[in-house]
Amino acid sequence: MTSYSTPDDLTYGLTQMLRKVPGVTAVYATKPVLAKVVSAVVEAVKNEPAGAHLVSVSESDDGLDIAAYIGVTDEEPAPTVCLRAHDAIRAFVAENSDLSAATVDVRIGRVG
Amino acid sequence: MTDPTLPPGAGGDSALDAAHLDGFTLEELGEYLDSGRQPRDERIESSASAQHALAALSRLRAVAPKVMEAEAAAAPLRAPSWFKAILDQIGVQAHAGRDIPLAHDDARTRLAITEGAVRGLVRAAGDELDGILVEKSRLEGDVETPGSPVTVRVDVSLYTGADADNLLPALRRDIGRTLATHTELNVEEISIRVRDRDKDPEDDA
Repeated sequence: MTSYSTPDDLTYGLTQMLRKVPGVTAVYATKPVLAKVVSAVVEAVKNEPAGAHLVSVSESDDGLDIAAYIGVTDEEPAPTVCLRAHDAIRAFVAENSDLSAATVDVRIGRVG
Repeated sequence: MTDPTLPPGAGGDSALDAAHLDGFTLEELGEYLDSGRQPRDERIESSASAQHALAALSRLRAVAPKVMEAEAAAAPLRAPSWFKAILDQIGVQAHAGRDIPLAHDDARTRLAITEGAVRGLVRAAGDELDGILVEKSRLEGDVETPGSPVTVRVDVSLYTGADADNLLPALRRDIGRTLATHTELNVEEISIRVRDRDKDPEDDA
């Protein structure tokens, strides 16, 4: 089991994982990525720009609240891919975090 | 660098664009297209709205000469206005807008497709047909409540010589199919209007 000790680690892991879910073509920022952050900051350890942290994770009384904003293929129904991404998020959190996923919000921002 | 698709005075860098496009202007996105999307800009690539705008700009660049030919023949003095109206709509159309729910039986789960994604589907349906350009579309109705009746209104332009009698039914059919496949909207009507070339497009933008 990979250890994701902080929300920032978890959001990084979730972003990378979502990009590999079949039918997911992109992971978008849930909020606009600040230009100065992306242009100035490159994480030394992971060698990824800050923009790679696109899935939002926050802690609540019930566990983790997770939000993802994705693009999906048009080669299968978008709701099918959306549900697949949701299931993958819950499975990933169950496998990699001490806290369980409370709410999971997956929005499709683009198809095709 | 100036966007070569922009006629003089066509703008493309308004504050309205930035408000709808995650802080970008159409001019910036046009320059990014000009550069072949290199070097890769993570701010742009991680913005769904910017991606929609890039797709619309690419389509507009590809078909604009054909539509403007028809436009110039009908109303030669209004071609720049037409172009400006289309550009002004790109930012609005790319905006994420309302969230349209997708069914799930767990109250802790919220799945949705954005209004901007749905407008992108409508535009893409037009892109697949040779002879038509989807200028804008809008969803009328309470799309945030599952099952509520929705009307899809679409404004299009046609190329010179385009066969409207075949193209418009085909577009209506294709929009219906793609929305049935990718959304759970209760679409009651798809209304397609071919823009009136005798009317200044700024009057109904």
